[in-house]
Amino acid sequence: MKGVDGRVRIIAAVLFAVVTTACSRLDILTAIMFSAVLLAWFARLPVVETIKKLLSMDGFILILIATLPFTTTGTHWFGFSGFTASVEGGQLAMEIFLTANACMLSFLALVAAMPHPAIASGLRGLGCSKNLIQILLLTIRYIETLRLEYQRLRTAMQARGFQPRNNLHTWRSYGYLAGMLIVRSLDRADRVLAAMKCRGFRGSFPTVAEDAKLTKADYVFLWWFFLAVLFVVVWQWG
Amino acid sequence: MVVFLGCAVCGGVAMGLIKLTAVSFSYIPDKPVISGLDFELCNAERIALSGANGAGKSTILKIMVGLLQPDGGVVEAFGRVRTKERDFYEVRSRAGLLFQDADDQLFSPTVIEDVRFGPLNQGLSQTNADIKAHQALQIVGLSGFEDRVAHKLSGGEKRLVALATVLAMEPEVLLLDEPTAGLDNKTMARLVGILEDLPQAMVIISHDQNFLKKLVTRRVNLVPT
Amino acid sequence: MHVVDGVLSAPVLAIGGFVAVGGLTVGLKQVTSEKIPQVAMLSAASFLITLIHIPIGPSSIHMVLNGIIGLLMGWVAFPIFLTGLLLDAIFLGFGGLLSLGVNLSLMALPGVAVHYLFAARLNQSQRPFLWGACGGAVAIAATGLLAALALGYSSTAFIPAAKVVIVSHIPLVALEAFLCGSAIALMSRVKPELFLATPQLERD
Repeated sequence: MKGVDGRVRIIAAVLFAVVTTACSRLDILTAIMFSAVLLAWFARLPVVETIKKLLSMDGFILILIATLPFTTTGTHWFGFSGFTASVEGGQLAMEIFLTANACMLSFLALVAAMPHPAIASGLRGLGCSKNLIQILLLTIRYIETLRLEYQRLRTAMQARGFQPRNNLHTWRSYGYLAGMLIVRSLDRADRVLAAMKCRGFRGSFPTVAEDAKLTKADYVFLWWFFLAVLFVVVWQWG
Repeated sequence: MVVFLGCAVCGGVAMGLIKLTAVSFSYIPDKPVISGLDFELCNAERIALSGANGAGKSTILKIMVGLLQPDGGVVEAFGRVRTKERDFYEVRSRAGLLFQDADDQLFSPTVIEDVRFGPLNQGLSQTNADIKAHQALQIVGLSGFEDRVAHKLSGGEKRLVALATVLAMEPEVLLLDEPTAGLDNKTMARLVGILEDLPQAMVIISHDQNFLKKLVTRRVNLVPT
Repeated sequence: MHVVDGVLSAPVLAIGGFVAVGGLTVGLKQVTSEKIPQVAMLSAASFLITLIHIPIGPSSIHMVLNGIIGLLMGWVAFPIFLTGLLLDAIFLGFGGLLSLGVNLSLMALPGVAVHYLFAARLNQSQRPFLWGACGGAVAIAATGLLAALALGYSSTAFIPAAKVVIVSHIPLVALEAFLCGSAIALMSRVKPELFLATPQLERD
């Protein structure tokens, strides 16, 4: 899957999310989840790291999933100390769980696994605003630089005995830290703009090579993907 | 505030590349960093610009390429008086400024994209810009670094790539702001070797006397008064 | 705020997408190419800031600071948070593709509102902490409220979860108010030119 064009992978990820979100049958969603795992395997996602990412996302929906069986009325499923869970609620929770995980896993495999410049050029190839692409590229470029800046500020605080606690001093210090990081990042923006001007930047970025034509591998991937989507659509609604 | 130490080489005749006359500048009103500065860079000169912290050394380089507008005085570059932003477009192409922090200068995802950014802005085709970029990388001894990711380079490599981004535009003058700051001895020796072989006139800001001794032809000291 | 795919109903997703596209259009119009580095650095900074965890009570929460970005940048908050959300998805695996529009609107729209409410008052004010705190509090409260609305409108089954969202936002509002106030107070001392009489947006 490494050779597949960025545009194709982004479109595939969107299509995957649309179809998966529209599906409501648990058996189909389970099949979709399997195909997402398959995609992850094709993309050679690191196993432990990917599972960690999925679990941290599941943390976000934990409350929703845990409460749904009890708040949805329907056929009795199980109950304890006055609370009763319904079968319908359990199904709804399961549906959300599978959809969210399948969508995220497919996104990680199809989009996030690409090198970042490839994501950007894929978005550009799909007609995304040029300025937005430049913003995205510059942001990715400077995250590490700004993170080091943050580390230095943080170390300077620790060197003077700062320990996060539950008090106003802690929160004020964090506010200052955030404010200082924003000030430094704005200063850096000025210097980067100056560097651009020094190299002849006059307000527009030079356009570099047009997008490559889709290769045979791209078409093969697309056809397989469309077939899979068609299969799911027929299964759910046919 | 600074005093002027004149050009002993050409006396300001004919060969002047960059000339500042009675330039003054302040970041905060009424607190001038520079006042009444005269300075001239002539062909083939390598000038060391020294002075205490806050004497306005970096400020002078920025004024030369129009990144800062002086409060008073005249900036002449390559035989013409430069006042407006538009006047400096040409100057920036002919006088390359190496920034103190290479991270400010390397803003593209990969090394090759960074190095060809300047030539592309100069209106070169992609192919020719790539040729210029490869040549520049060769000069700094980093051939093969084209597809490396800029923010994952070491400090020394970043500095050399930044120099390559400047050289790719084929400037006539190099303005180097603390080029050795943070470099280890080995990388510094490498940088000296590269700079020695370059034909460009230079203005170098550095506190490193060893480094300066090997390169410069003349020294200008900014004296606070 | 990250609502994941599979939770929200189609109409809510559509409204979110519509608002996001509108906000992005207005926001990107204000981003001249000279401003691109500034917008990018603020995207990177706000992405990093959301990774900072702060102890509160027995647990810890992370800063959002959509108030600060809104105060400083107005509609440009849309492209800034879009970049942040894309990075969240790419690096951390948060959020979802279809809910991107909703998530973006939840973050950026309150920021824009806060800009119109407080930016003019903040500029050249003697009390930057106060207006920063107002901005921070109103922005995060609006984000929580909108998130609850998005959940509640999607399905009646989510109303309890929506209530949890609102309740859990109450301590967050207090904390964000204090953090934004402190941050803005520091910024107005260190870089007063950010808060001149004419807001950032209209300055050229």
